[in-house]
Amino acid sequence: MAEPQGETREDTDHVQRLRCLSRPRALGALLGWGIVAAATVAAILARAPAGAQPEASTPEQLQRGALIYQQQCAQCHGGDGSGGTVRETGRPAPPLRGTEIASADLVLRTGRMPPVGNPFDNRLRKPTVTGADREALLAWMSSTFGLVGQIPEVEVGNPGRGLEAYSAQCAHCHGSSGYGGVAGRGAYTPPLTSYEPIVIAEAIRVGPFEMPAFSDTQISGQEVGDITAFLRTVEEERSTPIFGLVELNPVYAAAFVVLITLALVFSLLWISGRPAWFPDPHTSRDDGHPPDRPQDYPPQDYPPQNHPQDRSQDMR
Amino acid sequence: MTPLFALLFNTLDERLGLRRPGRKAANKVFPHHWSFLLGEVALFSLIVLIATGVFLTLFYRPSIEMVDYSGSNPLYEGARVPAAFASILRLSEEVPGGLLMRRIHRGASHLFIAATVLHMLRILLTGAFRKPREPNYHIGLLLLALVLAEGFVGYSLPYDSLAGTGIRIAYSELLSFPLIGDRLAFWVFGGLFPTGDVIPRFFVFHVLLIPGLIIAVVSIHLLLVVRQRHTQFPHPGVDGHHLIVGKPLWPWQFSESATLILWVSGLLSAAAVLIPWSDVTLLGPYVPGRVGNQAQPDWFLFWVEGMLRILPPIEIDLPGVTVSGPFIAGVLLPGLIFGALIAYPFIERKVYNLQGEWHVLSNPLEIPLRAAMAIGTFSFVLIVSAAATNDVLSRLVGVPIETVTGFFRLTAVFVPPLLAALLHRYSTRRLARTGLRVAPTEAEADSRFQEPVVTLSAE
Amino acid sequence: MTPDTREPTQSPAESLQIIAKRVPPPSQVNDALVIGTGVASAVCALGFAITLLLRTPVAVHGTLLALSMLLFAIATRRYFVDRYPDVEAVEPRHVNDDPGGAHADIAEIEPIERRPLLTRVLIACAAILGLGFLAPVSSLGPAPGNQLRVTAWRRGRRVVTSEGRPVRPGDIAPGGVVTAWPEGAIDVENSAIIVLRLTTQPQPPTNLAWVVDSRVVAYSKVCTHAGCPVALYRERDNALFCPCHQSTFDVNRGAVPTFGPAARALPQLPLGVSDSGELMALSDFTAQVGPAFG
Repeated sequence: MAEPQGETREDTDHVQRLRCLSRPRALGALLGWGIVAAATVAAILARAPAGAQPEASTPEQLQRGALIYQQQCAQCHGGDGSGGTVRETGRPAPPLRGTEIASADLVLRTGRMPPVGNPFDNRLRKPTVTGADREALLAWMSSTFGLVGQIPEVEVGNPGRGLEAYSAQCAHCHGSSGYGGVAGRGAYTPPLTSYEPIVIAEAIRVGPFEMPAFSDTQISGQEVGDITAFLRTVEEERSTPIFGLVELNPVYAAAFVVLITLALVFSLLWISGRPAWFPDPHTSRDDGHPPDRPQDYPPQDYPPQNHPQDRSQDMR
Repeated sequence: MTPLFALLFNTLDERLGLRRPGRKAANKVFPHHWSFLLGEVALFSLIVLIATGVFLTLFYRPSIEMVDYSGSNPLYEGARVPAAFASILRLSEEVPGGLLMRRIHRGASHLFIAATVLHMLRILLTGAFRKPREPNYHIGLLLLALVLAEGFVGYSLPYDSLAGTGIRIAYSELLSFPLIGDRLAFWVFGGLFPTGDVIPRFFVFHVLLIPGLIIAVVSIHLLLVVRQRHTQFPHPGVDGHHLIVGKPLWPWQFSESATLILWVSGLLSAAAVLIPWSDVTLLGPYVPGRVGNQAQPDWFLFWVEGMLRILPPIEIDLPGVTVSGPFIAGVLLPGLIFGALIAYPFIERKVYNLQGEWHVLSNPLEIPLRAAMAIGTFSFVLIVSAAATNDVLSRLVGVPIETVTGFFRLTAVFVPPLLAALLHRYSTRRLARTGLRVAPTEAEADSRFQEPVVTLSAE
Repeated sequence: MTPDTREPTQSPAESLQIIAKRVPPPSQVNDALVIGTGVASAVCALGFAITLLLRTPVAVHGTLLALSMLLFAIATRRYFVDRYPDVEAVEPRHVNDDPGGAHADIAEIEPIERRPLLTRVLIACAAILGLGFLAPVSSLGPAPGNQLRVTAWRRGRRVVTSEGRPVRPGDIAPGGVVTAWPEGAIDVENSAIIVLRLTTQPQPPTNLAWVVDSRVVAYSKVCTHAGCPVALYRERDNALFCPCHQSTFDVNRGAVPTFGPAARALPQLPLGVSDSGELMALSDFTAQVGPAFG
């Protein structure tokens, strides 16, 4: 049975308390069990389809989470999560109480938090709190700060529909095939193809930092799955040998044009040989062209008025 | 001659009289330098473009009507895409060799334009535009304009999202013409954007009209070169004004050209394997009202795009006429640059009081006006082209794009005149060191190469 | 002409005037190289043909094609270089340094009587003829009329998404943005709008009568600079950012341009709510949509 993640097990406590009843109360206990069972089944059935409940948090996990928070987050966000100031820049660090758990998960998975460098620089970065550490931190924050909402679940999607949804809703910020872009005033839209589907799903719903949030009516859960399927397809597209490219935006194409043109110019030098540029008229008469001038070879005559050795002809 | 070739040749010779003109042609002397091959590279790229282009034309559908995609790419399964885009998908995925042809075609177009620009640069820097070659130089500039237009309509044909954005901006450029802008846009595009006419018309431009013009103008260009003979670098000990020094057509020029066409084709094929020049599958088709971030035209239009980006907001409303930023960036300033290039031969002739004909090339570092003009114009074009990549640079360096744009505004205004002035100074000094002036006649220019001149200091 | 040793029937142009010559020694290595590269290029070309027919990936048949051409280039070069004498030759130019002086007229036959008036009238008429023949250009497209000045928005027209679903003010989250169209005119490019729910109160020059729920505003999506769709919404500073040339518009203050090459604000759509609670237009735009036209 899936268990609530990070929430206190109040229903379990109820069940445990019910066990202590006596025999006549055993019927009541059976009834009680029945009610609980029915309630649990109802709760499972009535649960919103997109929503992964966190795993049960063990005391070790909570302790670890607390430690990570104290070490990495407390100096800006406050030991009690009520917010604070970033020391280096003086900008406010928002309070964490009652924020969305999906938002916390997102910033941890993308490496926005804890920030290495400027937290508002959202170009691609490496996450620092990963895996079990992240789960621990989230578990602790959930239980201590009361984070709301749930981590969205990503549905299996169709990449074709994803291309359509992506081009309508995301391309103007994140680039035509997820390669990212610029949003002005130091904001960037990161490239998306290397993110896990859960990150994409969270970002769409949360709308972190400069990104707007998209509600269910704007981008449905199925569309979220489609978009992640499309981005996965982009990531897995067969790339060219050596450079490993799947497509080329005009700026990188320009760099390759420069390369090709340089290769061409070197080829021309190979095909045609020296001289490479103008001979120096002031110091030598040898322009270095390939054929030797063997002394014993009789020079052909050509019209005497243009004979190079004939200096008597005045050149106007 | 081998016996078979001799038989063939004699048969034709008896009917067409080939022997004497053939020998004359085979003995024709061509001046020899690597930079003289740039025009040939452009010509061979054109041949590759025509060859691959014919293949592509047999598959491409010039229409933006939505069709059901029936190919094998999972991204478009069951989707409705414009017919042009569907035909490109078919070429890329289903037709054996289709993707290779597409990439070679696109790569060859890049090389064609690059070689044309370099060739023009060589002509400009070495002074091959001087009398009697001004008409051919102007014909060359016309070719450059044609080739840029051809490239633009060509990469718009697949109607992918990036191309469509470019088409929208081209429509706005046409609109921006004072007085006639709206009519002009409606004539070229067939109505209010987006029309179903734009792709069929671009197809006609790209496959029929502009290539026809290019082939005709290139033929005139080559004819003039044959008639006026090629210029050459100065050869010490040879009177370049009255003699051409070089290598004969057979076997040397022929060998160079044959090697070059094969080498260029090979380079283009190798590039097509390593670089996905024209792969548009992941971009998706163009849908009006949508755009992808970080959009640029192809590199040869960066100079226009850059000016569009860095110009401050300009919209001057005069009675009956509006002059807007896009007009200045897309028409006025490029027109000025082309105008400067067109007028330059006459300016140089006037300033240095040049006389007579010129057949020997000159070093631009010893002609201050040319050095200054060349570096001023091309540094401006380069800076403004770099400005078109301001978003990519902003991301790479981590500097806000507003700062990057401001930087380019400053450098585009101040750096070209500064470089021009510096190079002018260097060139004047260099001339002064040798005690010479810019020669007004070729005889004087050539005489420097005929015997050693005592210099005041080492170069 | 100087005496020469050529055959009497040959003119000077038929024979090369060589000024320098270098004869390469015969080289077996070179010959082997010619044959080797030639054969290798032929093999690659055949390989290209076979792999193409077998539908191999681009990397395979493309490489074989490239190799065949590059190798044949080397074979060609080796066939000539080091097998033919390397010569430098000269040829006279036709130089015309002094073009002044009397010339014979081009036309040998003159009219019986010189009448410049006839010539000028004919040329003028030819010019008018030419201008007249330009008329079919106007058939290339319809007269613009006021197509550039009006959009598909009318009073009472509902605001719908790209799927045709009417938009309600509550559909948009705070700080959210939606691309929308007039009902019945989806994908009509000049009628595209973006509807935003601001997180703060909009200020003049925003027309507050056209703001719904004191937060929901709609602006034309067509950038007033060069026509690209403006949809990138920077929530943090309430800015609309056009990705093409980075024109930035302040949505809190009537979408006036704050950075970039755009010179005019994005037109605001007069927005209202219908009786059934759906967003609708109160009228067409009152300002010019999209880029300026001369």
